[in-house]
Parts: sequence; C-alpha cells; structure tokens
Amino acid sequence: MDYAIEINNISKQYKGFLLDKINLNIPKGSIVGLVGENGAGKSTLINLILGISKPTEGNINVLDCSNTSKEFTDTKQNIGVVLDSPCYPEAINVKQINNIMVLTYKNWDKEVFFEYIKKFKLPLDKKFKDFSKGMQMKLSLAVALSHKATLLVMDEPTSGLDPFAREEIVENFIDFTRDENNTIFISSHIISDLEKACDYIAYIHNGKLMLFEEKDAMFEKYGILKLSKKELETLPEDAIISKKENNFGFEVFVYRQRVNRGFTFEHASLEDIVINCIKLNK
Amino acid sequence: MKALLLKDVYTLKFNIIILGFMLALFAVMNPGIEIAINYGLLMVSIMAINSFSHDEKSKWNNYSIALPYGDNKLVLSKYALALALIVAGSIAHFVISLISLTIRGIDINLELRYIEVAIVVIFSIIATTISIPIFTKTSNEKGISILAIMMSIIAVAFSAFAEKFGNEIIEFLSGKYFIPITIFALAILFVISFNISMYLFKQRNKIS
Amino acid sequence: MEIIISNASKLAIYEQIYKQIKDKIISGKLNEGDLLPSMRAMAKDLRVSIITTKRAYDELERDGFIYTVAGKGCFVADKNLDIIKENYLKKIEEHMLEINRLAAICEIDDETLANMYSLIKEEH
Repeated sequence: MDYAIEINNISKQYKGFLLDKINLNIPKGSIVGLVGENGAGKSTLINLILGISKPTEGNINVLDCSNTSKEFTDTKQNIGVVLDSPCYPEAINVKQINNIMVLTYKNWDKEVFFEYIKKFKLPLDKKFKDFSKGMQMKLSLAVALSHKATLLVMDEPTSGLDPFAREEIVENFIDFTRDENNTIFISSHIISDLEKACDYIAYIHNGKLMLFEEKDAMFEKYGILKLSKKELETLPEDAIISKKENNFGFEVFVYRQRVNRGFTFEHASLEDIVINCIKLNK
Repeated sequence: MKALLLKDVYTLKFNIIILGFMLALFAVMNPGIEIAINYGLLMVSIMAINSFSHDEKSKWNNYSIALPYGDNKLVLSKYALALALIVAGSIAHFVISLISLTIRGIDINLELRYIEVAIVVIFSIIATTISIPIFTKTSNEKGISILAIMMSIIAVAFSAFAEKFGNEIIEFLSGKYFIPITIFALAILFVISFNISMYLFKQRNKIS
Repeated sequence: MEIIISNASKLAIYEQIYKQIKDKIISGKLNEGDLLPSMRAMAKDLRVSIITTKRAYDELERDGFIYTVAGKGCFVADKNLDIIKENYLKKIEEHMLEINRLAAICEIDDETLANMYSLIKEEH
C-alpha cells in the first residue's frame, strides 16, 4: 500500500455548496495538512473519508479498503479519529470511556491510554461535560492514540486551544509519525500549527482542491517580493502570480525560479504562501 | 455491541434509577392491567427518547460511525438496550407487586400477575419497535410528538378493544397458543422495525 | 549530531542539512562507517518534512559522502577525504590570491588584513 487514503473524484452536493471532483492521495507515512478557510469543505471531506457522510459521486479507499465495503468496519480498528466537536456523552468520565473503548477496539492499550491521560493532566472522575474545550480535545486525542492506529484522521483538533495546548498536541503528532507505518491526515485553518509538522499541504477553497504540494518545496517554489514600481517592471511577466499595490509600493507573489538574480525575498511563513496561493489558477 | 450498551447504561444511569422508583410506585399501587399497559409504553418510550437525545446532543451519532462498530450493531444496540430494560423492569415489577400485595394481605392471584407481566412485556416491545425507527429518523422534538401521538392512539385503541373483547382476550391469554403466537408476532414486528430502522439510519448518512 | 536549521538562510533547508553533514564528514567529526540518524528521526527532531531529509541524504549519497545499507540505514562512506581537503585548500588559495589583489588596490597592509581576519573569526 502506497497510499493511506485514496480520494477518487469525490463530489458532494449540499444545498448551496458543492465539493467538486476532489482527487487526492495521502502517502503512507506522511503527515498531510488540509488547509482552507471556514466553510471551504474540510470537514465535509473528512466526514466523507470516515463514512460519516456519503458522496454524490466518486469513491474513497482507506488503508487499501473501500470505505463503502463491509470490511471497512474492521479497517476502522486501525483508524484514530478526532472530530472538531466534543463527541462523548456528557455524563461519562475518563474511566468509563476506557471501559467502553476496551470493548470497542481489539488493540486497545489501557496503559498507554492512562499514560496520555496523565500526560495531558486530565481528571479521571470528572464528567465530560465539565471538561474545558482543550481538555475535551486532548481526551479525544488520547483515545485516538491508544489503540495502535496506523492512521489518524483529525478535523481541526487544535482550534479553540491556547498556544501551549496546540504546541503540545502538535508534538504528539510528530512523535506518532516517527514510526514510518503511521500516517496523519489533519485539517486546520490554523496554518502555523501545520507548518512544523506537515510533509504535504493540501489547500481547499470553495469546495475545490487548489493545490497539493510538499510543504518544504512550497518555500522553494513560491516567494514574496516587496518592490517599487520601477523594480516591478524589471520582473519577468511569467514569474508573477499576483501583485498587490499599497501606498509604499508593490507586494508581489512570484515563482522563485523565474525571478532574475538580485532580488531579495521576504521571509514568508507557510500562511503567507498559502493565502497567496488562492490566486493560482488550476 | 457490549461497548454501545455500556455507554448507554453509563449515560442513562440516572434515568434508570428514576424509572426504577416509578416502577416500584406502580407496583406498589393497585397493580392493574391498564397501569401495566401504560407503564410498558411509558417506560420504553422514555428510555428510547433519552438515549437518542443524549446521542444527538453529544454528537456521538457522527463519531460512532467513525468507530469500528458497524451500522448493524449501532442500530441493534438500541433494541438490545430496550430489551434489557424490559426484562429487568418486568422482573422487578413482578417481584415488587408480589411483595406489595403480600404486605397488604391481598390475594396474590399469580395468574393475573403473570398476565400483567406479559402485557407489560408485550406493550414494551411494541413501543420499542415503534419508537426506535421514529427516533432514528427524526429530530427529537418531532420524534417525541409523533411517539406521544402513536402511543396515545395505541393505549386508547387497546382500552376500547379490551373493553369490548375483554373475555375473549383473557381466554386467549390463558390458552396454550398464547405464548408461541405472541412470540412469533413480536418477532415479526421486530424484524420489520429493525429493517425500517436500518434503512432510515443509512438514509441519514446519505443526506448528512 | 548537531544540525542547526535556519529559516532566514538563503539556502533551502535540504541544502543546509546537506552542507552541515558534508562539513562534518570532511572535518572528521563524522568518521567513515558511522551510522547516520534515520531520515525519519532527523526529520522529526528538526521539525522538517521527511521529504526534505530524504533529499539531503539522496544528494549526499549521489555525491559519494554516504551509502545506504537496506534495512540498516545510511553510513559515512570511506571516500578519500584527502582529495576533498586538497580541493578546499586550492579554493582557499584562490580566495587568498583575490584578497591579495584587492588589498593591493586599496593599499591595505598585512597587519590590517590580519586584524580583519581575527574580527571575522570572532564573529563566526
């Protein structure tokens, strides 16, 4: 198996929203970040992958198994899931969740689970409804990491968390993929969280897949220049992807390789690049 | 499926206790056939409402599909839960009413007691087979209204029916064909209900 | 093994990794036969993508500095480092000739030159 997830020509039509012919393959062993603004279709895509929602067109294979087949229920033993909203019944506490998961997952590891609970400092007897948002997310993550999953699918696991919690959670992702059999597919609108961890970035906008590239290669391929009008004129046309004029000059988003020598690039974060990629015509 | 049942028990622990008290109350008061019917319909309907509403509120509905349970088990667990509650409730009802009657020095009339239990069970199962598909399909406010209407209709209809054909009913209940026929009828009801629920469950995912 | 990656550098990340490992091999900090960290472990520790570390390792292997043993990992090759050192010495000579030429044009004496060099060494 080369790909942990194969998304083939997936379309999903809602009232007023269309996820349009998405083709995306998630390489095994990688961390792939799915970015896009709110409402772009990230959660829709994740629901389609997990079988929570059915597509209007197309099919998806997860861990070499079609997600509409009977065998998919067994495949889910190997998938760790974190959804964007709290998903455990209110009255249940951590110990009870452990008891439920022991009966749910064949490879449930009680020790590992309680280690994560300890690491995340989650109380054992408190009811789920009394957890803060950050604690709820960490609990979901603890569950997802405690049954020897080889694929983690996560929908906005860091939104609503403070920077410390986010940092801690991203660390756990990085550790998870130290094993080359483990893959992570994670959606987020907080691009800076993904910058450290991801191998690939998929960018979705208005239901369409705008790009899917190696994260580090994006820094070599794209660049941002701050130029005066005169300098702008010396720039080859085919290097320019888009330009913005302000009171002090131009900010230009370019293909690095097509820019002549002598220009100094601005330090661009992944977020800067992705935001500008919206102007790419695919 | 054990996992799903456990989850529902944890969630409904409080409700189960309350219902236990109500059941004890019913059993202690004049145990009668009407109360038995109403109790059967009531108990199961309330539990069904509660377990579904908890699931929807906590977004467990979506999450549970991502877990390795499978559609069959997810739907079946509701029936299993209802059945477990019916069995436990009926035994408890039986025992408590016997104790209550004994304490008050009233004649126990075992046969009538068996008939009561049978009626509770039968109506509980009927209530289950009706309420689970309803709640699989609709949101909870609508579901409760529909269920309330249906249950009222059944209760009223059966009371009227019982009044008219009371004697024939008792004869039937005491007869030897009662048990096999009833079991057979309930089994068919269950199969129909389960298939409807599965269909509605899959429908829900297609649209969502 | 210490590798420092800078976002502000003009070099791409894989180039920085390549250069630092190569320098360590040439300077003798890494000896022939030493096992390098796996591409994956390095990627995770440096917080970069594994594709980047793989690229660096691929180029090091292409240029003969390391070799891969399937199932075991990447090892420092026993390339004749003296030849590389000689190349570097040649480069240093060339730079020195250029410095000499420029110093003559600006009329900078040897002492000043030596001071400039000391300053540079201090800063780096």
